[in-house]
Amino acid sequence: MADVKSLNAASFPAFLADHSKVKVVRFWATWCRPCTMLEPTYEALADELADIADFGEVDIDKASDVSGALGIRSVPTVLVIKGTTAVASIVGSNAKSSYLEAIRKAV
Amino acid sequence: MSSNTSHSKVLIVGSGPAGYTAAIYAARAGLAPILVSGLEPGGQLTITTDVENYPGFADPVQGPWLVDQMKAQAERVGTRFVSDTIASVDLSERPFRLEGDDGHVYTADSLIIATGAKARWLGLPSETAFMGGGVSACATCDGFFYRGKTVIVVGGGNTAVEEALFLAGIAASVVLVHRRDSLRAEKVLQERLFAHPAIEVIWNARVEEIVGTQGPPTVTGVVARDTRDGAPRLIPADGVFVAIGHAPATDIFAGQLATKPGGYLKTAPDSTATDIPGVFAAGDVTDDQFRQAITAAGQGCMAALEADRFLAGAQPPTTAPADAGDRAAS
Repeated sequence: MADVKSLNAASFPAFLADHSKVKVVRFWATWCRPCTMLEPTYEALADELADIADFGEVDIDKASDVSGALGIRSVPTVLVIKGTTAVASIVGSNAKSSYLEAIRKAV
Repeated sequence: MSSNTSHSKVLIVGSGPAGYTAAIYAARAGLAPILVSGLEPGGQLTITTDVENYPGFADPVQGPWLVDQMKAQAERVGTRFVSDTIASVDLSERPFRLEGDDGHVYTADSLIIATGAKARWLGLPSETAFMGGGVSACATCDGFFYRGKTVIVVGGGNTAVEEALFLAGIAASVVLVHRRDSLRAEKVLQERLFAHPAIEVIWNARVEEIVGTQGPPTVTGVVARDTRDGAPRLIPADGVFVAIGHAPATDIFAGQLATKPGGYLKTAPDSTATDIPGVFAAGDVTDDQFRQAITAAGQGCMAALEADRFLAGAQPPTTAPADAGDRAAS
């Protein structure tokens, strides 16, 4: 079962603190259709890549402070974070392979 | 057959009004269709707001709701939906063979292509550089980020005007930048646009560059050139929404099917038959003229009926020009 952590300003720093795995974060909103389209793909990625990456998500309506601080101006956006650096930012709803590629490259 | 392969009499690729309508008709004809949804299940209607021209609804309905209803109807009559994106296609022999993004193989006795169209971009390097940093093609997704700000909408068709009107309800001001001196959008939309106090229109201006600051990329405006005297001007804005039309989504069929100018799939007159027997095209992937939800739905219906006839052994219509002698008497 996919483990995608719902993140906010309080839990985000702790999520990033552990550098043993690459972090993947999806920024989304309930009213954004392409965001809901991406959801099954994102959950499948979280399932498949659980060994090499931690997956989280930020609802920008509930945690606009997090998306604002990271300069997110478009949803859905998926950030791939290695250590403290965002190594990839993928905007829009894309094919699963493009996320797989970016995450594997970061590992 | 391996578990990694699915076979169907009718395979439908694409999930807008054309694909869903094809699915409804094919399922009701007992053809047990499989529909592969693609990257944007529901298609362009999912990012539109009020739909006021689809018959059957006295009051405006929401685009996402309308396609959800179509999908539910297709599902109720027996369509099998697959959440996958087709990565490669082989139409050289039957059954046709298509491969999904994950490697799943779909074989089919007939194929209905309803992949629609994807948003066209300006094609500027600066546009790519500021993607996600103020450049967007989806007002309903990204309008949220521009509350109280100034945004530019580039374009002059229905989508551009609808996006401008939607954004005017969120942003402090909206500037519609169009390269011509008139709009292609429907009159009723134009009237609403011109009457809106928060929307300004800049005519005869071609966007040449998106400008902004780096780290993180943040748009500060666009440079546009006057199409009459060539004078450049800077139009300041916090966001740029590109709405300059759509291009048919035909990449995966490149070199396998005949196309019309603009890359639209070519079909026989009064038919959805492409130049490969058993392959049909419906909706925005083939329609370079009307591009409406209702015409896409109509073509989806035609495609399913034609696929049914094809599977029953009928010769499909040909895309070759009609015999010159075969004309109605004048």
